[in-house]
Amino acid sequence: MSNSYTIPPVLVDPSRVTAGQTLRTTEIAKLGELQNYSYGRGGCVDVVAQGWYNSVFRVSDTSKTDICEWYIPRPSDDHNSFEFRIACHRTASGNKIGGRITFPLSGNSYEAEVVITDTNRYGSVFEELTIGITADESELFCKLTLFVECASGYVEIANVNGSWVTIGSPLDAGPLDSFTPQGINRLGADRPLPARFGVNTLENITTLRKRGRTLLNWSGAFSFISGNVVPAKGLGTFDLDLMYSIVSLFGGMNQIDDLDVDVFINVENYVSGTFEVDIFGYRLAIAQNGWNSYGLSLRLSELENYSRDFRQSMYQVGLMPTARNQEILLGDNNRITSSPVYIKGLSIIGV
Amino acid sequence: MLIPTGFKKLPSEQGCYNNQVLFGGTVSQMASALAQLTHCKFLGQAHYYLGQTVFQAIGGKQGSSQLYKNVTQFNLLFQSTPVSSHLALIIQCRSWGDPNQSCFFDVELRNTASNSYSGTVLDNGIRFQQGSDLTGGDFETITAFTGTELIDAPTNTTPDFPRPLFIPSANRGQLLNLRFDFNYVEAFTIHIYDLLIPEVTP
Repeated sequence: MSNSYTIPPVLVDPSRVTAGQTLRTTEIAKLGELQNYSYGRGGCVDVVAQGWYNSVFRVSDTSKTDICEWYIPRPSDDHNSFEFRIACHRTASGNKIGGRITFPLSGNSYEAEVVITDTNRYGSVFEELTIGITADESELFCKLTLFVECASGYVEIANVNGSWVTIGSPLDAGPLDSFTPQGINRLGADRPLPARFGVNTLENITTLRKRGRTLLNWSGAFSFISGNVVPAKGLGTFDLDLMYSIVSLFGGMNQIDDLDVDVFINVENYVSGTFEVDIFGYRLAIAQNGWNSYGLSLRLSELENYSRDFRQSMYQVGLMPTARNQEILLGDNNRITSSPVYIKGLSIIGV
Repeated sequence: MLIPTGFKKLPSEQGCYNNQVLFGGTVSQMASALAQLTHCKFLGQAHYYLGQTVFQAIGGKQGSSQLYKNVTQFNLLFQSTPVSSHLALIIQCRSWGDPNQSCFFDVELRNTASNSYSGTVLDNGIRFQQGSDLTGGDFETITAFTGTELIDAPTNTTPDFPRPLFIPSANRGQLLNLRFDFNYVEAFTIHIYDLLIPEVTP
């Protein structure tokens, strides 16, 4: 099959590609399949994940209301289906929950919604909806919004999770998004091996290395049933101890162009002046209300113990426990009732 | 084949042009870079932050409130990949520091057939127990970690000591459900990782 790949991917035998060996079709075909596999399936893992305890996140809005928002990476502009899974229940029939993907530059958005079936927490099934991108969109970062619409009563959310749907084998004829699919028949026996194969392979690897991985994703609750205690709208002082991930980042990132980490911060109540946050080893200045983005190179120190455990370089990525962050986050001395600037969303996407 | 964990510089594309002698190193570097992508970079991970109540007048979490002492359950979904085999967990939590109270939490792995929370159990899982696996007082945030041992397929029928969860080969690439049952333990964050297999037979 042309542009095909095998699952799971089969690696090239390293002893067959050393100097002095004949360049066999077996190895070249595997190189082609690995590229096709990586394009079709690489990065189609969880890009958003968040949960809430029992009785925490209840929403009763009777019109369609956005309640959370995250920035997520998109593997390529050929990945056009997003699966959004929501563990939730409702107290009245007809209550709906949905998701919307918005591309910030084009301004286009796509959404899907579902009528909730469960009537108690983790009752029977989680809701799964597929958001289809039906027009050509070239952006590789987009916003994912969770919304609710109640007929009556309320909806309670337990957790959310989402990933892009893989592109099956074989891939479409290329070239695709900065990627040239490899025709496997063309790499078979008695076929000429053109120089173009090598050049395309190097270009493909360069493209695939830039694919985003979600390292941290958190959203405050934008709307909920009012009360003395509610879900968090913004990051608070206790989050200094929690709002980070231990994640792998790959050596060579800083030596190769365009391999950086993208930080997205969603702020509320910002008008002007200085508002700075310490994240990922940088002091980042907020420039506007809403989402702010930063492309950053790696400058953190590696975590020795976790790196040894995970057999790769691990780093603590997220909010930093600094005195400045302590001052700007919500807390007793910085209550939301006084309308301070606060962080209502944080997404960190690495390569 | 050893799986590289870094982005090594790629060979010059001029080495692939017509009329060039193609040394083994060029193809070897391509193979190595692709193995890094498929078996390292594109492994799955999920980072769950579990929201608790905060005072509406404050708007954010400013400290530990009352401990969720009752049995609490979470069904957290994880999208595995065809090369996923073991799942490590890092959990930030706190437990009720009373030595007379049995504080623990269990984790088991299930499939998600028909989007059900009660899918077939794939791994009967593990238990983190206060005292041996969880230490610290009532208001102290502690980190529970499964470690990263690449275990063989487990055969336990009751929760095991902490270890990575094992995904049977038939379920790799599927959406999975990690079911957490907390008893007098309160989790703040749960991080789920595909484990890197450092050497893979081609």
